[in-house]
Amino acid sequence: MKLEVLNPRAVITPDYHGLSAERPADLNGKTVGILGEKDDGIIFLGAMKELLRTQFPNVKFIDYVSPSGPIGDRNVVNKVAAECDAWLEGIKTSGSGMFDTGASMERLGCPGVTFSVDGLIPQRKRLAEVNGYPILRIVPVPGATLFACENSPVKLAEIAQSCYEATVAALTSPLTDSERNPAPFAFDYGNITFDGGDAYEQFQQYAIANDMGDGLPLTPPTPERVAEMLKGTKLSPDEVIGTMVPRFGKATVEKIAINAVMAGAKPEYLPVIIAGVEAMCDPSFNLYHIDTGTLGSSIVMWVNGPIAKQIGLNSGIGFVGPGNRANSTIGRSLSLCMVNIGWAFYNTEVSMQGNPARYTNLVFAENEAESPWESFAEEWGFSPNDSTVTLDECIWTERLGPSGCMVCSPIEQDLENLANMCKGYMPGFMPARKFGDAAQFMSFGSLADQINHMYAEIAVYPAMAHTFANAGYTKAKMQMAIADKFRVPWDDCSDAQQSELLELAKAGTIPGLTIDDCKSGGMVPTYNAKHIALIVTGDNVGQCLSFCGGGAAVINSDMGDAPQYDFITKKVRI
Amino acid sequence: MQTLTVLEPRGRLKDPSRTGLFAPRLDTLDGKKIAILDHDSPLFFELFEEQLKAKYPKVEFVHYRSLGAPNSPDISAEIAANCDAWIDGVKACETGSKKDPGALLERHGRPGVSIVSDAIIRAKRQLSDINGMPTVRNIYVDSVDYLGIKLDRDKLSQLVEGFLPTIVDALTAPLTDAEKNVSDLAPDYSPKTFTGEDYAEVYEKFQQYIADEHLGDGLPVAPPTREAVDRMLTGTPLSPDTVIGYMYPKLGIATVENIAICSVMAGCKPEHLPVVIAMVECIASGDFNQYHIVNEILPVIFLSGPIVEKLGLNCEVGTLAPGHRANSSIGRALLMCMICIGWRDMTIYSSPGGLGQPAAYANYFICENQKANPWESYAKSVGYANGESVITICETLSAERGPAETLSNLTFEQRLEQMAAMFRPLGAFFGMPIGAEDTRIMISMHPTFAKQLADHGYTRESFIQYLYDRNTREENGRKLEPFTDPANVALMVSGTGAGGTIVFSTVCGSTGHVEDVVTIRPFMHKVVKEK
Repeated sequence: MKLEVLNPRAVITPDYHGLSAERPADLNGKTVGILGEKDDGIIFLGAMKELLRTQFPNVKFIDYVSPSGPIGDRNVVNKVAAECDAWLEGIKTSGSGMFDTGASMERLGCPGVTFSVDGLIPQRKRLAEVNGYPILRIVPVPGATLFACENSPVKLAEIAQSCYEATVAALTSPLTDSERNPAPFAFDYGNITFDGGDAYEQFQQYAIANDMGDGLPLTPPTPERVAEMLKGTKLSPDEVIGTMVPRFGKATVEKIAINAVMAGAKPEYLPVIIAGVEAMCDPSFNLYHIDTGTLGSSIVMWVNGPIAKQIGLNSGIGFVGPGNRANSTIGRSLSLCMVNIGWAFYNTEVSMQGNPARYTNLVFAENEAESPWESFAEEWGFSPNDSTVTLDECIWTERLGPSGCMVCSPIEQDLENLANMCKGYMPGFMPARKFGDAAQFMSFGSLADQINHMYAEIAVYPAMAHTFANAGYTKAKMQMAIADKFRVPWDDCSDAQQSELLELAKAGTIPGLTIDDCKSGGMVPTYNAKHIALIVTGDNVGQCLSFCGGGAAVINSDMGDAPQYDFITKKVRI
Repeated sequence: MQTLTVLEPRGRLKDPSRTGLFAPRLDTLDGKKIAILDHDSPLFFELFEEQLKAKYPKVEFVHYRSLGAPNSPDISAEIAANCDAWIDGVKACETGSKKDPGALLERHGRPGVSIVSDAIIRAKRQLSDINGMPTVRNIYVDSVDYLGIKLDRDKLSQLVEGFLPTIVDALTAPLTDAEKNVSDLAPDYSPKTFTGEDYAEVYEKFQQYIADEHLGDGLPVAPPTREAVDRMLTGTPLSPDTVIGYMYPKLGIATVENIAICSVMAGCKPEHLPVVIAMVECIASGDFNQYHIVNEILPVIFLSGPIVEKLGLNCEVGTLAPGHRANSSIGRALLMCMICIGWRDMTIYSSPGGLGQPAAYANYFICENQKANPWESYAKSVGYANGESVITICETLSAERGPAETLSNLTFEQRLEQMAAMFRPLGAFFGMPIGAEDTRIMISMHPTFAKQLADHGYTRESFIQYLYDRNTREENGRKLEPFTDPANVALMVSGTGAGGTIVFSTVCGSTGHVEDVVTIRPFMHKVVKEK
């Protein structure tokens, strides 16, 4: 039997550079920039400086803050390049962003060495590759020892000693030919053919060996099956839906269809998958954090509008579990697109334990028929005839319950419980007069940004929605009641926060923030109530589910000036 | 023209016999004694009894807690001796018990009715069916109407009033022929053949068959042809007709051949089969509360021993992530066995409590990272010999993930504190009694923290003792313990230096005081029988 399959990989066009900055043979008389990332990296590089000083008594060092962390200033690379002859940077210990300090320095003609824990070396190399440098001088640091060192200067000095020889070699040895002229990027996007009685099994093996799958059986994307899949959309196979991080693969309708076939989807699901990919490619959506986040996140996607029913999406029992072909295969298609269109492979992008939710993500429909309220999509201005998908990052879920079926609580208690499910029950911003500046961790941008970036998403089972509706709650009132649980005293806010809050109250842009709240004894909201999504879904055994740990937008700074949201909605093009 | 013939994945039923109702219904309720089997709905029955008494002044009631709780003893004979009829309810969610009070009491010759929320109609029917009496009378209450007013006396009173005639009718209307005459189940276990124009068509027909018959997890399965299954069977020394156990909910017989069929469907290779068989043996060979993992809760599976390396299983970075065929397909094979051999329809039995969990596709299948383990292997620590590979299974109610060590290089003491804080005060779950002796905890610990512990002189045992001491306290004169016996904590080292300890815990351990468990033990272990 002959089995011919289409290539699921999206076209990428990387612009590869070789290293060109000449390495100094002797560091004496040279100035070396030190860019430490996180406390352990700073102490480690401090020890490295001491070691270098012993061998090169006349070396000079200048310390900078590495821009590889979440809040670094990227312009620092220009400063380092102007002031230094070489640099040391690191240690990379987590996903971080898409900015590569090392590659940027090499591009500016300044030679150096970057450090990464050994477990993240494949990811570190990929980061350099994305930034145009397939070869960068990276010295691995043993993670098991580093993470157990408790920031002890003695232990970090030992670790520095163990990396010292490799570091000096990387700093001073002349560039090799292959570093100067790396092989240009080449990939065969052609069809792949398997022959023999076990062609199906050969295909499965090939997909695993070439990082094209998720470890479970894939449906072979033969030309016939892909043609059949493409009947599910009116869009042309060549239409480009977007480019997907980390390697900016070109997401054409055809490539999406190939991955949908492999995932086991049916043609009628394709428009939903395309809409999902469109959202994933949107610069406002931080897909990169889902690819690389150390805690292992997945996508949560809910579907509104008539298409949900037409394709049999589950909004009842087991809506995020196995058993429904539409939910399972649409979610799996998104993951396979991340692998094959974004070129984000599980072996480079996943850290720590990994998340089994990544096989299929969490895909479900809102149960609009059983909701007493307007749907999520209508709330955000879409017509009931529109079909939409809404995506966010989900690191963990919190479940409420069992409630209703076993234990019955008064509405006030339910509200308290629902608020408890929102992002670890923290206010959207920390009142600085009470908690001090130290409490401003992860607080970037203006106060309005901080309030508007506190998103929460809760799947509410229909009977609970009706209980609230019967008690006079519109959806907006319920959102406000939950947001109110996060109010903080006006008196706890700093002068700067107070003046910003007053401006916002005057502008009326934060629901529930009034000028009246802005005085001694008043309580001010820290959540934008509109950003608490209440999605009615699930069956009535009485459990709610919230999707937590989004907020990627807040800690991301790679998306340029694009507006950043937690959840992002796209219309399904039927 | 193409054809595709696949073997039937369903397990043969251990007991396909089914009985119809035979207990005659009551002529009147007056002067009769009715057993009330309360399922957490005291107000409903208080109002019901008031209203029924108003209509039938001489009716009497005897009260029992419903038999439907996982730990409740079967007192149906006693109830039957004390009453003329019974009413059970209001059942609004799955409780994890495989006992259907209705079927038990009808067998004792007592007529009655169960009141059930419409959200679990199909699950309740299945429950009666697996209890051998598919036509037990059930009355359905609209969950949207009922759940919101459970505590509202006036509104609930109106709802009960509306229900009264239906309940009386269920107790008095004579049995129909359909209720009385029920035939035994006779499933078709023969291979199924699909035909079509080309292979793509028959393959798609097969996938749709799997979806329509609820024999899959929603993702494509590899077709279990005779050849593929025979190839799979080369992976085990056991003969294909060896019976490994019985799988819930329907008590399908798990033969080695059936397990091989499910392993093919999941995408396994022949060398993976012995691990899958050991997993099935763990949950299906007795002394394991299998119904609880069918119904609500995910199993957690530890694999310790040389087979981890031999099969190239991933026990390092991303051990739970997609991308490794051995890990993914072995974990999925257990789900496929539960679905196909046990007849677990995922659209009826979802976990937990109806929400479902995406982790269920490939389960929490975790392999030991012995190379980075500072202590002896987990298998050795529970008494197995060098060279033996061992599967350990328990259920989990919660998977608590530890902090990311990559982001905070904390001191050892701080990490110890963080770790201890991951143990919730047990007993808070579901308002259950403390039941600390039924608590089971499985810890997948990342190597860095294990190394730190070892460097600070901790053994596996002394660390578990630390967790006990740190979390045990007096409250209102009552001793609150996180667990009662250190043996009820399984600690295995897995994953990468970058961190990510996971603590799985349950208050209703599948090997504790629960249904189907005769010999109580800390965990169920089975040795992998390799070729």
